[in-house]
Amino acid sequence: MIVKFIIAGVFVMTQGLLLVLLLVVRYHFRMFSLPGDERALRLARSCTRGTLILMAGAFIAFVWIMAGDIPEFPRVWFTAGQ
Amino acid sequence: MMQLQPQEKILFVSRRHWWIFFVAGIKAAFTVLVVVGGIVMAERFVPEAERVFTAEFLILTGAVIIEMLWIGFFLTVADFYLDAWVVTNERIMFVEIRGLFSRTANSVDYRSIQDVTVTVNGIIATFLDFGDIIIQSAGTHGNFRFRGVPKPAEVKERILAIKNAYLRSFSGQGSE
Repeated sequence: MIVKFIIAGVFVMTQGLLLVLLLVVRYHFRMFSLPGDERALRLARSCTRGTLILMAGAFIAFVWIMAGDIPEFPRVWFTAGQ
Repeated sequence: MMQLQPQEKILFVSRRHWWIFFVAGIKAAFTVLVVVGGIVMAERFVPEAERVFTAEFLILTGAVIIEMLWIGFFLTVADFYLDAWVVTNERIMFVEIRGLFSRTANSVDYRSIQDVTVTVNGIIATFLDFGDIIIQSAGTHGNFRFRGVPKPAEVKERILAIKNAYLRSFSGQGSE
């Protein structure tokens, strides 16, 4: 069970970080592009679409792994060196 | 978005050389290799690792790595694309983004430009023809350095030609 909690925590943190970075990228492209620079706006849109698609894919993988049977940490990892 | 004066026209925009972008890509690829290599080595040398690195786990890890690579790629593109020298008929604007939340935007009027210097350092910069351009300004900002400019000597000549044309037109207006 603890492994599922760790995976869920790491997953939520990485997705949150990803969203923040996405907003930063969009902000940069919109605020610091030249007047009439359509290419910068297209790059921002591509970044948003790609990130949302990848997040959806990662979410499906996350649900898949949560629904399955995850082995706990092997005992040998904790007893190594003792 | 950057604002121009009503009569101001953009003459050219200079960005960093593609080599700077390429080096950033190499660093990202190396990071991915280290992560993937670590998982492969763990599977091979830690007997219990097979129980943890199941197909689902590897797919989820791969998906998160791809996400991070994707956003990292766009952060690098933003840094590369938005770091620019904008040369207009009235001034030169410098926009530099340093990291995620730090940026510098300056402009220098042609009347303030005292000297333009080009430096090319290293064998790669020499062969690929990129270098730094330093503009010495009489204003309070001092020197402006833009790193990794492609064809720096040509850019310098263009800046000096535009500056001379601007000063001629400015003195012409003053004498009328």
